Amino acid sequence: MPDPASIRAALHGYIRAICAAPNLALPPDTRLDDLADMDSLKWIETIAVLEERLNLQIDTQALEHLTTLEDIVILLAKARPAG
Amino acid sequence: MTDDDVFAADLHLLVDGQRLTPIVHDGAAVFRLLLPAADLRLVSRVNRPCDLGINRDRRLLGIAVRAITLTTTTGETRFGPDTLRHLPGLHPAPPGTALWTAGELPLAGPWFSQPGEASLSVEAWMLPAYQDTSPASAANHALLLGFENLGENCDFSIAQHHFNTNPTSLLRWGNLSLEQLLAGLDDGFAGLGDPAHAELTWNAGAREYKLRDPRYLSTHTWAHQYMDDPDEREKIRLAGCARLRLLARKLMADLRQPRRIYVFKPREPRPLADFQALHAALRRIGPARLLCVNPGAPLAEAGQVEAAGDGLFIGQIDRSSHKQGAGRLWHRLCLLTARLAETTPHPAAADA
Repeated sequence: MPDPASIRAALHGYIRAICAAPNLALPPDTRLDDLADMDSLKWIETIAVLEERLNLQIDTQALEHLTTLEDIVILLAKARPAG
Repeated sequence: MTDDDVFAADLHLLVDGQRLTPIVHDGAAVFRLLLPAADLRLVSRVNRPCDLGINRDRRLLGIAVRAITLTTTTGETRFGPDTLRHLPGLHPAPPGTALWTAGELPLAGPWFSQPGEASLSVEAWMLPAYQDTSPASAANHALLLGFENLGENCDFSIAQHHFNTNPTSLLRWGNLSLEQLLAGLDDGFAGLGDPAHAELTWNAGAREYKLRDPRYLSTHTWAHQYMDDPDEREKIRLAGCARLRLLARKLMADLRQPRRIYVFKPREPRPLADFQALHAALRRIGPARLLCVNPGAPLAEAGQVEAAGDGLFIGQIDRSSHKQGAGRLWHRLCLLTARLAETTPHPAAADA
């Protein structure tokens, strides 16, 4: 199972690639609404892509309660192995 | 501008802290006021065009003011865009014939210092929907959050957004026929999000890429820039496929233990038997309750709901959510359905 640090690194790398901003600062309390190049669909896609890359299966109900970047890290860290 | 526009935007004038509501005359919002006034503010609700799928503009915008005309006992003064652009807090609104407020526009100056009766006429464009931030919005948000869209298009989701309610769900921004929905429910949307069945198409009219699986649905991507690079398009397609796989799993899990009342509104009126077929398909998965809303209702019937038994409710509406006033009607439909649902046994109880 990936640890929170590696999940965080994967999340940040994916967001920076989408935003084409390699040096984008992403503090843990960054609100999902605050990133100009992201919208609600892109956030779901980010989680969906990372879930599959990390071979995890998240609790889908928890998708309704995400506010910050760190919420996504916690969601993925609590996921069970896929399959 | 119509009365419905004014209601949806909650357009009003604050005159030294007192709220004034306009009447609509010849397409303009007209305020009757008594001068002098030290502090005048034109206030409205706001929204972000990106949240409405109009474009990627993330600014919170109020109304787009074309002109303001002040009429006093001594004459009439008209302020067009060239004058208004000097006021603080206004954004340009292409093609340059209006200026967007950010929800509150201070109107100050010597024009408002002369004592006497006056009228202030505001000519403006509106957004198709506004976020409701009134004190009642928390209750409205909680009510609307108790419902989830199942299609056939995004009409109900736009109404939910008006009440700041943005649930995460497969069909929130989906477009599908009843037949496709029934097929998806019957096989658990098996294979939805499989890249072999998903095509990304450019919709020139909407200036947006849509992701389509011909077996089940078409969905927004909010990608509004045409892309020449096939690799860039493929990234959008594959990320969209991953989203569909995740949200299909979520929908099927939610249907087994539903927390919400599902909403289905066909593009054209459908007979009761069609709604009963959809309800039966949902009930084969779990104890879901369903509100089916038929479009094209006569004005007198719009906003009415009837219970059809076993958690099925039939409502009527007369306009799409792109028309002003639709938010109010959807709120009424949800309120009446929630009340009916409270007074009828939950299907789960019958299953037990």
